[in-house]
Amino acid sequence: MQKIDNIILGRSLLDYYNGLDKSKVILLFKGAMSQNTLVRIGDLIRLPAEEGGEDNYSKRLFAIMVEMSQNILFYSMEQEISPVTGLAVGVGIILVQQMPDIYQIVCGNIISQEQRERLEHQCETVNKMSQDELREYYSAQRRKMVHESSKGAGLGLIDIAKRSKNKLTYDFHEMPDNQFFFSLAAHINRVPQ
Amino acid sequence: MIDLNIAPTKTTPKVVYHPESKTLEFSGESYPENSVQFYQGIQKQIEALLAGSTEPFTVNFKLDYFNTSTSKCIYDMLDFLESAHKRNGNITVNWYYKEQDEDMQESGIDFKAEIGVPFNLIACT
Repeated sequence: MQKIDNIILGRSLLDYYNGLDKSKVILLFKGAMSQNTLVRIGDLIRLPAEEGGEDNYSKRLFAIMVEMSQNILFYSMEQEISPVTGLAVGVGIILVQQMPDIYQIVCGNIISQEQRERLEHQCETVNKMSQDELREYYSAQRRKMVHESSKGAGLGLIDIAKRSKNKLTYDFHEMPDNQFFFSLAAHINRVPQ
Repeated sequence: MIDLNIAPTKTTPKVVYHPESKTLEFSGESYPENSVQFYQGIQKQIEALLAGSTEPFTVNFKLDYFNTSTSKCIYDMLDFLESAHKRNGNITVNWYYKEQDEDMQESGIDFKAEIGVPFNLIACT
């Protein structure tokens, strides 16, 4: 019998499995975040609701996942060219953790210095706001923003904060070439089952 | 030729136009990769419809989910409808939402607050 050489993150597959288990990861995707891919991830996230399980959270998790994924698709500095369309698609990671009292949905991708400044400012701004202030800020930004045809409307972060009803947590990890790895986590409170 | 009947896709809503009642209806979900392309096309057709008539025109929104990019497109469309309403006083918007869907209700309330057309919020079971 050929032994499988499981060098995953320098550890065995079991170590990796235990790590994910301990962190309560229920879904993880790392790779090129095409529109088709995020649609399928969305279906996975909504599966419990479809199967008649918890319904209150599926939709919020789904909505947050769509915004996070489309941000990766449009804005990640790491790109892959789709062999089918020939178009560039952003690369990143999305994961969902289900703890007894909270859902955590996390995304990560490489960004530029310029993006970092904008994102940091936006995260700080939304984290200072109450739920009512977020609603007003969202409406105000929506009203005045000019919509770039091929990308988002710049409202994603506000929407994520608004829907999750908790402060965003985020980090910028320095990388070579003046780039950063941006990670963002949203939290949704669960009523304990 | 106005063609405002669009079959739904996984990420774009069903669009139906009833010429007898001059009612345009959006239903389903909206989170396409390029929402501007989708909604601008529809808005141009509405412009053409409204240019030819001052009769009452109704838009029904029966969306289950839409992303932030769509939200901006809806805002732009409502803004345009408001301008039309200022000229001819003929626009009505009906915003349908599922009773338990607080987020969709909230979206309707916030659009209504910003747009100066008769705007009805309708809860469904």
